[in-house]
Amino acid sequence: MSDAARETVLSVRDLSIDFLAGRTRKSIVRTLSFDIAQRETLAIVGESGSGKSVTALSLLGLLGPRATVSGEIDFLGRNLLPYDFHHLTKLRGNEVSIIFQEPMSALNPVYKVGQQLTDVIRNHTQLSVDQAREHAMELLRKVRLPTPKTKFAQYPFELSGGQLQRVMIAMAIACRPRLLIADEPTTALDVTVQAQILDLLRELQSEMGMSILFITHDFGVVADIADRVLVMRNGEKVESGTAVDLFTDPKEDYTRELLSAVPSLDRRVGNRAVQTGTDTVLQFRSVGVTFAGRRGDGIRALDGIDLSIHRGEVVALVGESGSGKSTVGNVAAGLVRIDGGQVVLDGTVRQGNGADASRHSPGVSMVFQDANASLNPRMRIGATLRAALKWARRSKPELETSDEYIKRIMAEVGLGADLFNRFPHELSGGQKQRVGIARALSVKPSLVVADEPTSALDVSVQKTVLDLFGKLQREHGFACIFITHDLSLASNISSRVVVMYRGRIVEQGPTRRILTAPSDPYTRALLDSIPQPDPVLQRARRTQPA
Amino acid sequence: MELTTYSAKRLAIGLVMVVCVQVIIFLAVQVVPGDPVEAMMSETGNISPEIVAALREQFGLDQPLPVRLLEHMRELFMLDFGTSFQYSQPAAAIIGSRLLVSLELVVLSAFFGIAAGIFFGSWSVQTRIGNWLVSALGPIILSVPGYVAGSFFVLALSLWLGWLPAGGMAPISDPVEHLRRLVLPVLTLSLPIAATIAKVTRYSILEVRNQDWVRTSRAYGFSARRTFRRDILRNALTPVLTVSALELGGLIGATVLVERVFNLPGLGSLLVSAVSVRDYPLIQGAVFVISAFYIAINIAADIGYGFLDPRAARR
Amino acid sequence: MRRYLLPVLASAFVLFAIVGPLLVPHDPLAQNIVKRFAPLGSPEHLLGTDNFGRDVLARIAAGAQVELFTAVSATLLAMTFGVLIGMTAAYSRGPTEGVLMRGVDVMLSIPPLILALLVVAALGPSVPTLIGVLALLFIPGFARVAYGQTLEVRNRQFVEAAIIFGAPRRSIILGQILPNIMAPVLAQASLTIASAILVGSGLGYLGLGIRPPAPSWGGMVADGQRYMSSHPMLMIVPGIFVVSTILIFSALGDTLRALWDPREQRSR
Repeated sequence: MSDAARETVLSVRDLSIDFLAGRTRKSIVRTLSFDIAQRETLAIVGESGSGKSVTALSLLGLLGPRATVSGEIDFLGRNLLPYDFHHLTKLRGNEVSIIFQEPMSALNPVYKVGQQLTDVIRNHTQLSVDQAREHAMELLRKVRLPTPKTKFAQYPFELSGGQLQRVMIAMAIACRPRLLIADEPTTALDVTVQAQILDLLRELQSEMGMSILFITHDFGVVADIADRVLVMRNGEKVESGTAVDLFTDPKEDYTRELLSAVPSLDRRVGNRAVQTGTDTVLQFRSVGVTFAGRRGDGIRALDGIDLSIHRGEVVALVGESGSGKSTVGNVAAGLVRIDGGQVVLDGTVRQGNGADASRHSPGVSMVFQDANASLNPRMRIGATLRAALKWARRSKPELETSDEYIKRIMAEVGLGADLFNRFPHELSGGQKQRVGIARALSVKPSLVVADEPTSALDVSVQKTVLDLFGKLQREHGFACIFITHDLSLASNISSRVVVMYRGRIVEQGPTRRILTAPSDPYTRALLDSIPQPDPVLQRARRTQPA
Repeated sequence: MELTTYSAKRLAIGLVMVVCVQVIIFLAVQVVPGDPVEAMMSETGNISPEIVAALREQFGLDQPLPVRLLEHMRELFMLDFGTSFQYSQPAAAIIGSRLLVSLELVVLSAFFGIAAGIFFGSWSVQTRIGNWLVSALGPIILSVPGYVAGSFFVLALSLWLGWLPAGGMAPISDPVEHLRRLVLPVLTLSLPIAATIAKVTRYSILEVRNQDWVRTSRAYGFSARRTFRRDILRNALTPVLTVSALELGGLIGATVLVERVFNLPGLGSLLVSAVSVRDYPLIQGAVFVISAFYIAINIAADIGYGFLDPRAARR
Repeated sequence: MRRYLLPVLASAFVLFAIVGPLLVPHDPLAQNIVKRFAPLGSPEHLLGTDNFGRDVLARIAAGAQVELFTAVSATLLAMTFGVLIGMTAAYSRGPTEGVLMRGVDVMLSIPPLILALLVVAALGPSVPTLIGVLALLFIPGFARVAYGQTLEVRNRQFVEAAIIFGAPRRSIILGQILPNIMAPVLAQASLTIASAILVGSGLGYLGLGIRPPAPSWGGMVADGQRYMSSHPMLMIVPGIFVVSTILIFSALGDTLRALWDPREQRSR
């Protein structure tokens, strides 16, 4: 990294980007400068709105007609500004490639995967169709796509997100680029898949000698892959330096703030006492759930789930997408019909296959992942809260529904009374999630199901919302199922962790034990995949044989 | 493979639909107060009861309803619609002679309308004039009913300017005159189709244009023209196909009016005259042909949809 | 203020249909052979007279009443039944859903104008028949829109939230789902009024709308066509009324949709 002799591949000087919004000009990026050397990985980190993705797209002139880009973008001695689109067309996908955040939508759904890859190859080379196909197959093997021959003739919707991202990477390296721009390439993926993709990128980089510009919001990923880091905020550089320096000795307050907001696995492990009360709020006894499949076949979403939640305890339900963790939450809340076993909630029994297999459970409330979607867009905030109280009062007549009470609850979650008459679209993401929390606790529940309540929020907002939620939980003493894909987050809030995989519980126990001495191989794989915000630790982990 | 089963399924559904429609229409005709024989009698004056009974027997009206329904369905699928009261000829023959005129109108109008619509829709997202044409002129065109547009065309282009004949049909043996006489009716019928298709194409393109894969296409060095054809227009055509099928269906209705305006001997004008004298064999035959055609279009569209969008066929 | 232009114009048309016949000092059916073919702008007959010397303005006004009354009532009927069918199908799922939506498919596989022709043929032309036929024609459209929207909205999380917090079925359907599907339904309604005028006046043109000599705009165009070469205004005037009415109602949809959107409303 300190090798000064290395050639500079990309040199950006005083990059400024403005967007035309209506009649006004909005400055998105201001006088940004950075360099990337050969074989080097530079990570640009920032929260949403920092201008990091816009910067990445500007390098290839992909911002569209409403953007004005000024400054200097020097790629191997050629200045790309002002854009010469004829020149750019030859450069794109050839010497500079890019991969995107959503592999699911980055490929055209109506063409076969192999076809799209072949088209890209033929766009920049003189290869014949057969030669290009052969090269495409070779690339698919190189990115370690399982059963490449079959996948070659399949449509994007028939592949998983991780597989599609591999296809995108194959496309990106097809013409042996000098620079690869990776715009949040793993954000939409599960953590174990993320680890594999990052490994693949590292491996391809050392083999092909390309430079990587890596855009991300995740400091764990930064620590895993970056040689140097540039922190951005509101379109400006906050600080930059080598990854090790930045993590061990951040110069700027903002960087420090961001780093401290990152939930870390080993810093606060198990700082909560395990509840041992026998007072059980919710109990699952070998619960099973089957969803109707496309062709009439059933998909087993939950299989033989045994679980009990005690009064006042926070249990983290951890798993990747498709593990069934959200289904457990939905069963607890009475949204999903069970077809086997029984659920006991506050002493009331719900039997599988019975008439009451899916029914509203008065003691349970829920905080949703997407706060925006969970609020009726046509109802004002006060009305939303009042409606929930009125419905809940049908089974809990002691509940108060006065405006005064609603405003008190709003104050408790840090919302001013001035928001009472606002519509959801007038609130920020963090505020909307506070409304969601206010709604959940206003009905005085004995159990709150929190389904990834912070995963849609920026990392700094995430921390304040999480802290608020923890505080309210302690004050109100409700039990909580905290559903998350993030073990670090789980370690910060829960006293007990339940790990799920493909509809089954693979392991459960006190948080401390799960994190330090996992007994199940899947839990271990999950733990190993979490990128830690510490480059030294991360490197050490990588060199260890898996 | 999957596409074949998908297509077979659509075809089967279509057949069932044809049967359902015919049953509904048959029953609807049955519940109408007064049967065709009475309708005939009111036309021709006094007929003796014996003749009425004989006529009833001849039309099979003395049979119980389910028997008549089955017999009716059998005859329909044998293309035997019975004898027209009005013309005293087999209804199938009359319908056959009129079908070609309407078919020619529908096919030509659909072709020009859809082609022009896709062209103007694509043009509208690329230039200012195109944008103005589609977003300002489109709604106006769509607000003019076919019979008004047709009458205005006749007034302006035939009577005032004398460019084109006002109506009627010329035999195909005189191809130039034949086509000249088709210009105005086809123009009348295809304008609203072009406007609708242009609107749908435009919105569809605007939506597809913002999809991630279009950015991917540009980011991998495909030319603007290639990106537009390969990754925008191709995907944007799916809703265009659906709407085209609906428009073709609407076209069948519109020909009824336009044939009247331009005095063309098509199926539509036949149906209108049959309706006004309650010539049931003719009505049922015409409706059978029209609804079978209508359903066939929808099946074709569904199958085309399977080709355009691989997800549709595998669902 | 521009967005209120269309609602105001549409209301003006409706108002004209209601009070127009009272304001015009002529009987739309009164013939006067002496005064036939009076030109546009005659002092007594603002829009002239027709081949029987009947006042065109009076006939336009009477026609407006018929066209708008049938179109609006047919639309209201179609909207009520269509939304009911669509929401029931989407909310109930299972066999009810199948039966209702297949029924809608069958109705959609009968060409619209042909269906209208058949019913009119069977029952004879009259205003109630016309309303019934038009309503029947447009029910599937509303059912489709309501069905699709309900399916989408019922899976949105705020509906799930309402279920979790114990909302009764009634308030989920009426309080949570219905308001959120109304924007496209209203847009559909204004388009349907336009289409109903289009189809209704088309039937009038074929002489199958309401019985002549009662005036209808379509019938007036058909009559005017016969005197096209000598008195083109007899055809042009009702034509312009048909076109502008349809234009206003079809453009009204976007305005209604925007007005229904909370983002367009200011907070109190």
